[in-house]
Formats: sequence, C-alpha cells, structure tokens
Amino acid sequence: MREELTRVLGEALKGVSQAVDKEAVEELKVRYLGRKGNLTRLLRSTGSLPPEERAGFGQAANAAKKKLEAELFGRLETIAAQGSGSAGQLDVTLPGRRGFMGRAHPIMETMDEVVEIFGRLGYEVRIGPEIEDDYHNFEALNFPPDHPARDMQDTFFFSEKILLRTHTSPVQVRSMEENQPPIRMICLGKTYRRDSDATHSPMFHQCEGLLVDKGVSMADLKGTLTFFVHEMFGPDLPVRFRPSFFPFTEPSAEVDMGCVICKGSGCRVCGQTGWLEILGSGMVDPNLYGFVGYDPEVYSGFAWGMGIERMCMLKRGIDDLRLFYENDLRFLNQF
Amino acid sequence: MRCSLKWLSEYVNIIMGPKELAHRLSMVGLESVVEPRYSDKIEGVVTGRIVGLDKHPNADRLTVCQVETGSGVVEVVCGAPNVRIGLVSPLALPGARLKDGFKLKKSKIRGVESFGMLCAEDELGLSADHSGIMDLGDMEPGLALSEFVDFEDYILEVDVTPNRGDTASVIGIARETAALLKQELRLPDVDYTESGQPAAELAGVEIRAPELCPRYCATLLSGLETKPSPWWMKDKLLSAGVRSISNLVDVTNLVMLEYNQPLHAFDFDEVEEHRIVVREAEEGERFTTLDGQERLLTRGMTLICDGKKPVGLAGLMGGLNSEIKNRTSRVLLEAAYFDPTANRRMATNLGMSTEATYRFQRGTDPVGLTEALKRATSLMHRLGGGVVHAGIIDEYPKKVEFQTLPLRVGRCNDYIGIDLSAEEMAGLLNSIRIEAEVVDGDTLQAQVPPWRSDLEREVDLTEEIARLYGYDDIPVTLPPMTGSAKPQPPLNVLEARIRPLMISAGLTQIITYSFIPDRAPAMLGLPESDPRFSQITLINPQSEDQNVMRTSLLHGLLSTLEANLRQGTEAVRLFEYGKVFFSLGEGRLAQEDTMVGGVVCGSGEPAGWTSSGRRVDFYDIKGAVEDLVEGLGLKETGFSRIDPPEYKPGTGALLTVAGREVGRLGQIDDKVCRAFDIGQPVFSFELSADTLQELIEETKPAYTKLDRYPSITRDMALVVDRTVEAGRLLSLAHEYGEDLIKGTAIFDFYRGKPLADNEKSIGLRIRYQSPDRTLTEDEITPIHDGLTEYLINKTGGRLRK
Repeated sequence: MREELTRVLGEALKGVSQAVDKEAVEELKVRYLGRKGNLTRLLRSTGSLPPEERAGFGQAANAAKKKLEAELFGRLETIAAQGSGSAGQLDVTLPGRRGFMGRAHPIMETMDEVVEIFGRLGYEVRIGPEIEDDYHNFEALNFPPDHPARDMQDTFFFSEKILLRTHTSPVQVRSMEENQPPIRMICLGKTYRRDSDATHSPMFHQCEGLLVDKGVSMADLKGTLTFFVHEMFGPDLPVRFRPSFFPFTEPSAEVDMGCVICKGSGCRVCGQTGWLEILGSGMVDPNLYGFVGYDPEVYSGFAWGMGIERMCMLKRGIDDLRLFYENDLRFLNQF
Repeated sequence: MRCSLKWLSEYVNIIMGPKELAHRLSMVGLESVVEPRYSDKIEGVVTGRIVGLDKHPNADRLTVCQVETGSGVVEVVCGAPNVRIGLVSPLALPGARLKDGFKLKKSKIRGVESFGMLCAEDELGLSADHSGIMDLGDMEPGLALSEFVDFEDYILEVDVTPNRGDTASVIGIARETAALLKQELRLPDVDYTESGQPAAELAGVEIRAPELCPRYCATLLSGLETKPSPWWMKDKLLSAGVRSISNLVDVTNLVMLEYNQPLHAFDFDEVEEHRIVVREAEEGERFTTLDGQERLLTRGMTLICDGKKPVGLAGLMGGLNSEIKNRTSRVLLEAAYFDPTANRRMATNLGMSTEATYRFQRGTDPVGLTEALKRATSLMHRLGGGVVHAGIIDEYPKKVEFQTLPLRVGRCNDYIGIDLSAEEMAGLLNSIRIEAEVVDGDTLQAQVPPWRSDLEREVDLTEEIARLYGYDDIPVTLPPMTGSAKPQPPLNVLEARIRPLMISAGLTQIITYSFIPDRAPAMLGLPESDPRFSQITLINPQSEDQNVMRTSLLHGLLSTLEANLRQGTEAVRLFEYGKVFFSLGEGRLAQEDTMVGGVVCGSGEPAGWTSSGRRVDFYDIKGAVEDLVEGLGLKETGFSRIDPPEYKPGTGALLTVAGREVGRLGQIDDKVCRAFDIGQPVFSFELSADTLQELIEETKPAYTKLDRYPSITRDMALVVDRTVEAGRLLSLAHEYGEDLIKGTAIFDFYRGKPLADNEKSIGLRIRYQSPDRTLTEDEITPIHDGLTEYLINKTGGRLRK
C-alpha cells in the first residue's frame, strides 16, 4: 500500500508539472482527487488495513493529498500569470523591453585597467594641467634649450614658453616639487604632438609612472614593468629591455613584449620581429633631482611612459588609431 | 643611418649573420633593422664600351650604338641622352634577368635590331635613377655585373638617438660592433705624399669667434682634375642613399659618412686673398647659400668668409660663390668643429636642415677631425691627381676638454642591481675605447673619448656598464612597499561615477579633440561678449580647423552627432567628460575647467516590437540630467527657464543644485543645427564637473527616520493657465506651510480638449503623514481642501472635474 501511495503521488506530480493549461490541471484534479480519484481511493482503503498500520498510512495519505492540492493550485497560478490558458505559449525569444544603453569609451576603460594594476602596487594617481609651460614640459625634464632631443617631440605652442604638454611627464615634475620621497605615482591623461597619420594622432593619451626612494635599482624597474605587462597582457608573454635614449632617464630602456597577435612568429603588426615596443622607461636622470631639490646621492628611482591607445589597440585588436577620435557609434558600441 | 654591411666589414669582421648583428646592436642601444640591399639578383649583364654611334633611321631620340662586350661588338638601340663614344655602361644581353624578374629578349626597336640594352641604375635595381645609362668610368668591357655589384650585400638601418651622433657614421657603428663581437677595429688608411709649397704659406685661416668655432683645420691641393668618381665610390655613396656628383665632391660626402665629420671643399681660386675668416654674422646681414636662397642672418650665427666676403654658413651650407666646379683645380679642404648649440640655433632659426648640421648639432669629434681631413685629402689626391701642399693648417684657439670621470663600483652595482668587480667594469668600458683604470677596488677613473661628448657624469658611465653588461642579464625584482597610496584625484573619481550613470541613461562616451576651429562660438550663435569667445590660439596648429582650444564641449558633441547621423544611425546619444580652456592672459597657463556634456537626437526608444515610435524631446535630456545629479547623491535640484543663445528660444533651462548654478540644458537652436548640418531636433546639456565635485564634497549624506505611522495620499487635478509652471504648484504647496504634508509630486499633465487652448491640467499628489499618530480621513479632508483653495487662489486656476 505504501509503495502504491508513493507511485500514485509521483505520477500525479509529474502530470502537474507538465500541465500547460487550466483544463489539464482540472483534469488531473478529477483523476486523483475526485470522488473516484486514485488518491481518494487509497485514502478510503485505510480502513481495510490492519489496526497497527492504519494511523501511519492515514497520515501519509493525507500529507500526499495536501501536497498534491498545493501543487495543483500553484500550477494554476503560474498558468494564469502567463496569461496563457489555451491562448498560446509565451515566446521567450522575443527581445525584452529595454531602454537605451550607452557604452564607455575604450580609452577610458584601458586607463582604468592600468590604474587598477598599478594601484595594487601602491601607486597613487596624480593629474596636472594640459596647457603647460616650457619649464615643466621640457627644461626640468632635462631637455635643455637648443638641444636635439627637442626634435623628438613636435610641440604645439601658444607662445614661446606656453605649450600643450607633449607627455604627462610634467605631472611627475610637479609631484616631486610638492612632495618628498618616497614617491610612487602614475599620471594619465591627454597629451599632444604635431603628428597625424594611421599611427599618430595629434591628441593621444599617456600613462607615466614614477617611483623614487632609497636604494631603487634597474632590477626593480625590470620587475615592476614585467609585472605590469604580465597583468595587462598575459602571464606568459616574454618581456625584454633594450637600451635607448630619453633625456629624462639614464640609463634608459625600451620595453618590448612578445607580439600578442602572432605569439612571436612574426606578423604585420610587429613588423615581422615577433616583438612589440610598448613602454619607454629608465632610471630617473639625476639632473631631474636637481630641479626639485632631491639629493641624488640618497635617492634613486625609475620612471616609464606608455601610450594608452597602443595598449588599447593591442588588447582589443583595433588596427586604426583614428577610430578613437572619430567616435563612430558603430565602433564604440563594440565595447 | 644607412650602412652597407659590405662597407662596415672593411673596418670590422662581422662574424655573424645580418639579422643576428642587427639584434645584437639593438640590444646595446643601437636600434637596428637589416634588409637585403637589392630586391633582385640581376643576371646576364656585362660591362660594355660604346665604340660607335649612329642615328636611328626612324626615330630622332634613339641612337644605334656599337658596343664592345669583351668578346666582340654588338649593335644596341639606346634612348639615353648621355650616350657617347668611350662610355662604359652595363649592357644587358639577350636572356638577361633584370629588376622585378624582367627577362630581356633580342628585339627590333623601330625597325632596327637591338642585341641588348644599355642600363640605367633603376633597371638594375641599384637605385631609382633613370636620368641616363650608367657611367662606369674606366672599367674594362666584358666584366660581369656580379663582379662589382655585391648582390649579397645588406643594409643596416640604425636609428640614431640624439645622444649618440657618433653612430651616424660607418666607423661609429664599426666601433660598437667591434666591442660587441670582441673583434679588432681597422681604421682606413689615411697616408698621402705631400709635395710643393707648404699650405700655410699659400693660405691663411683666422678664427674671430672661437666660442662658435673652437677649431678649424684645412689642407690645400692643386692641379686636381674634376671627373666622375670610380664605381667603388659611387657604390658606397649609393648604399647610403647619396648621389654621386664628381670625384671631389664625392670625397667630402664619403668621409662624412665614414667619420661623422662634415667637410667643405672650396675652389681655392675663388677664395679672395686666399684666406679664410670665421666670424659671427652681423645682425641683418644677408647671404645666398648654394641652393640659391638668400638668407637673412642674425648675431650668434657663424659665417665662413674669405678675405672680402662670406663664402659659407658654418656647418650648414656653402655659398654659390666658392662652390667647386668642373674646372676647379685648387681645393681648400675644410674640417672644423662648430659649437653644437650655436649650430643648432642657427639651423633652427634659418629653418634649414642638412646632413652637416645634423652632425654638428649632435657633437662631432674635435680631435679626430684631423684624421677625417687626412682621409679626405688622401682620397682627393688619389682620385683627382695633382699635389698635396705640405702640412695641415690648424687653428685651435679654444681647446675642447674631455673629462676624466670617476665611477664608484659599489654604487654602480646598486644602481643597476648587479654585482661586477672593478676589473670587470673596466673591461666593459675599454671594449668601446673608453680608457678606464682601476684606482682601487671601489673606484674607476675613465677617460671620455672625444667622440663621446654625451658622457658627462658618473651616471653616464653607469649606463655604459648596464648596456654593455646586457639589460637581459639584469635581475628582476620588485621594490619593497613604503608608505601607502593616496586616493584618486576627485575629478577622476567623479568621471568614474558619471560614466555608468550616463551609460545607463543610454548615452555613449566619446572623446573629441581639445582643439577646434576658432569659428566654433560663432557656429553656436554666441554673441562676442560671451566668455566662450575667449579662446586660446595655437601659433602652429596642425590645421585651421584645429587652431584654438575649446571653451565648450558642444562643438565636439554636435560634430560627432552629425557624423553619426550622416552614416545612418537612428538614435544618437553621446556624452563627453573633459576639459575646456580659458585664457588667463599672456605668458600664463590656462584656466582649465572640467565639464560634462551630452546630446540626444532621433528616436526616443530603441527600435523594436515594443517601441511606440516616439521621438526624443526636452524631457529625455532632462531625465538624463536628473539621473546624473541624483545618481551623484545631490539634492535640492532646481530647473528654471533661461534663454542662452545656443538654445532654441523658450527651451533653455538652468540647472541649480542647492542654489548654485551647475549648467544648462535645452533644445539646440535651429540656426546652430544648420551650422552643424543637422536636420532634426537635438537636445543637449553641459554641466560644470568642477561645481558638481564641490557640491558632492559639501553634501553630507543624511539619514531620515522611517515613518512609523501610515500616510494618506490625496490627488487633485488643477486646471491652470498655460504660463503656470508645474514647479510653481510644488513650491506653493511647500509655502503653504502645513507640517503634515510630507511629499508632493506631479502625477499627471494634460493639454487639449475639452480644456481651452490657454489652459493645462496638472495632477498633483499630496502625501500626508504624522510622526506620532495614524491620521484619519476626517482629519485630512479640511487640510487638503484648504491647500486646494490656496493653490486655486494663488494661480487663478480651477479644479478639473
């Protein structure tokens, strides 16, 4: 009898879960709970059991009846809520009712990623003016007047001494002017150079970083930037450091990483070299400390800079720099 | 710097493949790429000498040449202007393979059979020159091209950094290569025989400006013959991309490429009084350089003069008057050292850039210049004949000093993060000819060589150690954390908060250029008195459309909107967060204000089966602004009517928060839309992010206790005159001063039948609540009636039935 009860209840519940309309639910109700229903019949047969089993079975059968009644009621509610009945099914494939949704500019998202990674290393973010003076943009960064190094950066001028910053480095100078070591900062923002083609835009974004403390070495520079590249582009990428020249660092290093497109086998993006140049860096030139009043015998440090557009292009496979400033929604809505 | 590996290998054994060499040089700081010098291997070409010329019977411009090939004479039709008897030129024989795989066949040209082709440089892939067939000087006929053109040669392209001008020369690259590969450096042979009267008796040099020109050396040659250079000279110049001119001129160019020392050859017979005077230019002095341009000079510029007049701009360009010509027989050959800064200033101020100034600006070798001069003198003697007058005229009034620098071994190790001994460091420096001596276990003394003017401090030597040791081998460590980072700048945090608010209001973020055309305020219809006219102007804009800094975000937003409409986007909704710039006056930095602005245009809902087809209106942009302000947690928001010129009359609104003006919104004026080529309604806003930030800092989040007793809500619909704003009803309800009124809201708005044209109906919902008891309907009714009457009296309205 017990097995019979379990089987009948199971069968009834299965039927309920498959009922798609009110009629089906009503039919189940009659079949199991009606005067001649299967469950009703079992309940009635309690009297025919031996006295010691009666009470236990009676309780079980009543519980089963309650359970089934509740399920049937719930099913009816669900069907009513779907507005169904026999009128038809809900088409879950129709698009939902939505409002407009905008997107973030990929450059802003890339800057967030960079800030987040260096934030984990304890770097604070600083900002500064975009219209700068010659002193902070060049002179205090060890670009003497009439020095060929100035040819490296084609500058927009407002007057002889006022210009659009060509890099975010003046923010580093201003930070050092205002603070004593230890310094651990990054600065991000718009920068400007008179240059425009598929790989150069007259306005672009940079992120630069600076760390000054006691006992900082080139090995620390390598460690920090290797950490960054691995966090930004993937833990297995090879990273290499190559001697170079920047007026504000000595020694200077270009940082290359294995090409993320071809994985080092050589392609159009990396110019068949397998390497992508992504950062300029170096130990802070001691001349810079002279401008801000740090003692180069006590402190040393390193600095680096990178183009946000390039990071963004490499991460997202974008092949034309100009897309960032055309702001075509067909482009922006992809991110 | 382009450098042929064949040329480089004259000075150093290259014991590895071209690619490996380029990589190794890159890893010591001479960023290099290498590629084959020739794209094609040419076959079937031999030297041929023209021994006879006939006019082509059917074509005026063609010549029929009899060409001696070493194994007989063939007839070749040629169209080059420089054919002459005796000329030796490459002859492609039938079956030859030329550039781009072109196969030459025996052919008839205008009825005359041609048994080959005399070739110009471009046809052999040697250069792009097609001015005439090649002149191979006195080469024998019958030599295969591959015997004197090395088709296996490579070109090494070295990116010369501003501090390493010395590597803009073949010997400079050879010096680094020798150190890198631990090979011997072989310098060219500079010996020659002097004869005749000493140079110093025939010519004089006087330096009147030693600061500008510390050293000037010269040699004198007579009886020279000007003629075309031999092939080996042309070949070397071609490898560097320099055209051959004549034997004498080519020598100066070749030696400059070898030694990084620009030279100048004067026709000595044109040098008046046979003396050279180096002096500072007078203010306003004029001089015509050999490119035919007259240059206006100023003080600080350096002139090379003869006894009477200027003959050259020092280290920049010679003059027309003393240039060597085909009949030149006596040459005064100059090798000088000019002050790098003065030279750069002169070149910059005159807007000139030449190979010579490129080198002088970066610092040439004031000691080694005599070697370069000797090399050039010996080559001129060899190629031009004549005699070399005895001695070098050498004026050196201001000695250029090169320091002895100390290097502390321990400090250098700490700085780089390595552990080398004093001897190991000395060994690295010596490998690139920086003579270093170990003073004691912790100190070196290094003598800076005269071609390395970039080495001025101890840290410069540290860099040499690092790059020669190899950056790859420096360990990788992380510096210990000291202190803790400060929070992000508030304006960055604000951007990060505004961005998701705007995105959820359906606006996409854009970034537009900070520089815009100066007509932008006029396009927005602003009067001249508007502060947005005080733009800062670039003196060297990239284009006239980007000549001032923006004073409003609207220009960028509207231009971008138009571009997106033009390419067919139905709903354009954009926002930008960025700076605008105002002048603070001459010589000062700008006032940089941070703004957030947005535009919406087109359909009011995304297209789809649920869409009603509604177009955007004022309340869409207002909703976006409300989302933004409330999302930032700001309260006491107010909107009031204003009429700024950029907005259509009657559609502008001023946003205030806590009584402070934050920005404007409204519908862009039709005239402005036309100026931007936009043909449909656009709604926009522009707010001061700086003010929003100040308000955020002033706003303290306050908690209000939740009400314990239920509230009673009563609605009323008032019919009022059209000029009565909904906001007025809300503020009147507030003014009414009933403490039990806990909330007011507009729940309905209606215009149209059966109301009169000048009427509108506003539905007002009032919530009554007491902090200490449950209100009853009976209690509320008189209060609500009183409020209704008050509003009717104040607005002249009536209750809508």
